[in-house]
Amino acid sequence: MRIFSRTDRSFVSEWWWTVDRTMLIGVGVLLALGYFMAFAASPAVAQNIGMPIYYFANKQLMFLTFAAAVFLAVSMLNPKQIQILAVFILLASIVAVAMTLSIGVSVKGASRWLLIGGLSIQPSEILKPAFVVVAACLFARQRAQFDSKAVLLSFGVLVLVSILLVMQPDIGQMTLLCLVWMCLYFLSGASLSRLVMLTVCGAVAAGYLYATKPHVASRVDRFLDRSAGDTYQVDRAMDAIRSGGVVGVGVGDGQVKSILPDAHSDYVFAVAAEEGGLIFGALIMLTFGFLIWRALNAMRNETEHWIQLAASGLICLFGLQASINLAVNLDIIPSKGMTLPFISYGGSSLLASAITMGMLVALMRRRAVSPMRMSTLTASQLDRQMRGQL
Amino acid sequence: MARASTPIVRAGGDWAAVMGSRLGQRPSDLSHHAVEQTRRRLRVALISFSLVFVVLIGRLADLTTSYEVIGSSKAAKTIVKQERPIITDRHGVVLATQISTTTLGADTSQIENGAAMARQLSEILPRLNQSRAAQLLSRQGPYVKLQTGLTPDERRAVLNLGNPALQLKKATSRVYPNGEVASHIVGFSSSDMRGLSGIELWLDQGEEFSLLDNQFETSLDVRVQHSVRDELMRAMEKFSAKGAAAAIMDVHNGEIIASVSLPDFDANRPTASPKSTHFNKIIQGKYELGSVFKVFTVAMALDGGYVTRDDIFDASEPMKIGPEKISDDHPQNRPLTVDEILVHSSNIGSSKIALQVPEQMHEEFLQRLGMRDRIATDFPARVRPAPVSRWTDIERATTSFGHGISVSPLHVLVAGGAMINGGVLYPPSLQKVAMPIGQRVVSAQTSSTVRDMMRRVVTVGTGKNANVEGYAVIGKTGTANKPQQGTYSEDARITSFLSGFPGHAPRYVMLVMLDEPTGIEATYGQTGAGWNAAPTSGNIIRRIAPILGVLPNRDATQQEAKLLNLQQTAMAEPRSGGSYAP
Repeated sequence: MRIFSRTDRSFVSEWWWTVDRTMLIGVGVLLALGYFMAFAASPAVAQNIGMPIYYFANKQLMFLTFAAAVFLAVSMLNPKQIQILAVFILLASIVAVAMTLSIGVSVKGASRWLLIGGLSIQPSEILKPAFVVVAACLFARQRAQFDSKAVLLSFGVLVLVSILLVMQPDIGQMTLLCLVWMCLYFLSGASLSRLVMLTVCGAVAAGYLYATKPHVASRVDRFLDRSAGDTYQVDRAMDAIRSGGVVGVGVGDGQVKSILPDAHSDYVFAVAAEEGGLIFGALIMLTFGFLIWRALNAMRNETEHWIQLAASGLICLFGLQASINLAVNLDIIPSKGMTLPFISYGGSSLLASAITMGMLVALMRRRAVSPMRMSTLTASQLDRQMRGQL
Repeated sequence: MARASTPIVRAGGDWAAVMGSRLGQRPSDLSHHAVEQTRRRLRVALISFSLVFVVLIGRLADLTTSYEVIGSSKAAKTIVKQERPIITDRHGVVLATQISTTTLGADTSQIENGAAMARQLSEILPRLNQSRAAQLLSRQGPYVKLQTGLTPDERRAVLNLGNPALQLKKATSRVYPNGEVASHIVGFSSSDMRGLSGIELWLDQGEEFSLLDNQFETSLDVRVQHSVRDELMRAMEKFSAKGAAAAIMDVHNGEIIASVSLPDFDANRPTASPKSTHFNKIIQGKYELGSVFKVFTVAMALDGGYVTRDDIFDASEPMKIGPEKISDDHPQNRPLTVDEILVHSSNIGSSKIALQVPEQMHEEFLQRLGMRDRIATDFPARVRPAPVSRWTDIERATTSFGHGISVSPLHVLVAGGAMINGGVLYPPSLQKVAMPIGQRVVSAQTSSTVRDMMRRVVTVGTGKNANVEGYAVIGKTGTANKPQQGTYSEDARITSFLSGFPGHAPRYVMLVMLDEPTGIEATYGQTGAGWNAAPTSGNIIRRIAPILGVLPNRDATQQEAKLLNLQQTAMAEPRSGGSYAP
């Protein structure tokens, strides 16, 4: 039974035949894992703080449904629409981030949230994919038209956003954005000497933050020297992952979720590794790794430079965020407030992940190539494109 | 970047251009070059991400497969800490054990209002000091300990608060079910389970004890311990004494059956009592115990053959040695036999006896009794007797009646045991002794004679008040004025009574000591040992002898006079087969 006929030229049918369905499956797996972990990790946390047992799980279920819808909707847009959407979201979220500084809701010493219609939203999460797409456009424009103002503009936006994020403070998101911007700069073909220069600038900025922001310094110190302070969450996460072993202690039998305040969000991977062991942990990692590999690989055959950059930037954002979260969970780098896309609890994070992957999948869709462009394609690219058309 | 001087504000005007431009849609060599360059660099990104994920998965695999080693060592550590032996008395009654408790702590970084939380907690935890808790909770530190030893109900109440900042930890705490009863001997431990005194400290001093079922069995009998303590407390109250102490030892193997020092403390709350109550008079104390030493003096002289029982020494007037003058508390003002010297506790007589013994023999005898060294066990906090700087006639004379020699009550107890058990000195022990190894200090004949004399002290002498019908108690009183600023106090006295029972074949030796007893109506204002320490000893023996399985022998009592005169050595021969020095 065919749901979509090849000859069916309707909107949805066209989407079905041009979208990378393997990516859809990958994102679907992540959504399912997120659904699973919402019920595995969050009831214990809800109990700890005296909420109804399925308080977080039910909310997350709602978020996941919404995120799936957003993902599908965004993935149906064409590249032009993605561009417009990105610019719109970027402008809106910059304003929103600025607003958090004055009317934001403060949680655990940081004012990152805006209360809109009873829901608290973290605009800095939504900002990330939009920023990546806009920056990619600007980098592509610079390459296409020798317009160095474009790069300068993207750098200006990065600085503005970074300053806002440091004021919140949200050093983790800021670091992530800077890293992704560096990735884009590198991918767009920047000279290596400039990259080195920027890296030095980044190191200086990091040193400045270490010297002036006590909580940054304390996190780094605690990572470097366990006796420097409280490493409770990381230590418990390590215990949990170790006790999980190869096959895990069994679904629902994990202990760490009942003692870790962030078991459902930042340390959800530790819960997963404790209950499902190496096998389940590796499955989560491989799912992320596969998505990254597939997207990056696909972009090697992309002929449109801005799309190539934007999609690569989006997958770098996604991949870096996942890698940083996993590395924190595995105690490879200092703890940083960063969620695991799709798996961690949190509406804003989920929404941002959905937009990121939605935009990525939209940009990865096969498109008709104009005959003029055909002439510039390499043989293998042409082959790919032709097969896609058939 | 190249034209860094370009103001960013101008760039703002480019938004329309960005939106409107057909970015990269013009096919050109330039664009193609850029795509190709990005394509090459994407390979770098791919390799980088692959490496990152290899590291991540590797680390995960490393962590998940390394649990065994780390887990077991951690578990082992916990077990070591919890494997503190249970301390019991000789019949298995628990003197010290541990129970699981809950410790309440808090992560202060998660607390907004410390005072409010302290108020909330004090409602469910009656023992919590609210103001102190509020102070702790307002602190910056990541973790503060609020209270140890939560009951299960309290634990549940805290859990029901549902505050994630509050942390409940399982803890083990040491408990002493008998509280004060043997606190000086058992000792106590710190909240982190380290032994701080007594057997608790002993266990941590690195000595290897062979423990069955992780149980340290002491030689104490908690029933006797309790009875002794009870009687001592009565005596302390009756005579308004500052303190009291008593110890009982099995004469045939040195096992300490009971050891009480008053005032004492509750081992569960050692800090609730003043530090002075932690002092164990029996082991740590150092006293001039007075006339009980005459037993040793007489035994020494008889055993060495320097005097016989019927020798007569003139005690009709005080004795002068150089500038010093020795006189009697109970002056008879007549010549006395050796028996009578002991019975009437004559200082003059015992000094004269001591001077019959060569100087060196006297010193050697005291050394053999252990009076010059610490008691020969490893038990902590044993006192070293005061060193003797001069050893001339005057020191020898005063030592003969227990002055100018400072030893612990345990020294006298141990030596006293050897005087009445047939002449063998056994080192004291707080554990049961399977193979007693003693050292002969006097002959069985001498020991038997000393027993007869000590019996006469109780039947006709200063120790009459110690008599208990059926047990033929033997004993010797000791009354010593406390040394005070280079001289002796007029009224502050240490009174003591060294006793043994049953008298015809002693199984237990006991020393009772009272610190500064006062004269009462019943004693006609007298403060001598015969008026307080002796009757206290009698009360104790009356109470504990049945517990110890010593049956009253009324026949023996009736035939006592006859038996005393027969002086049968066979009867007094110790039943235990110790290794006797030839």
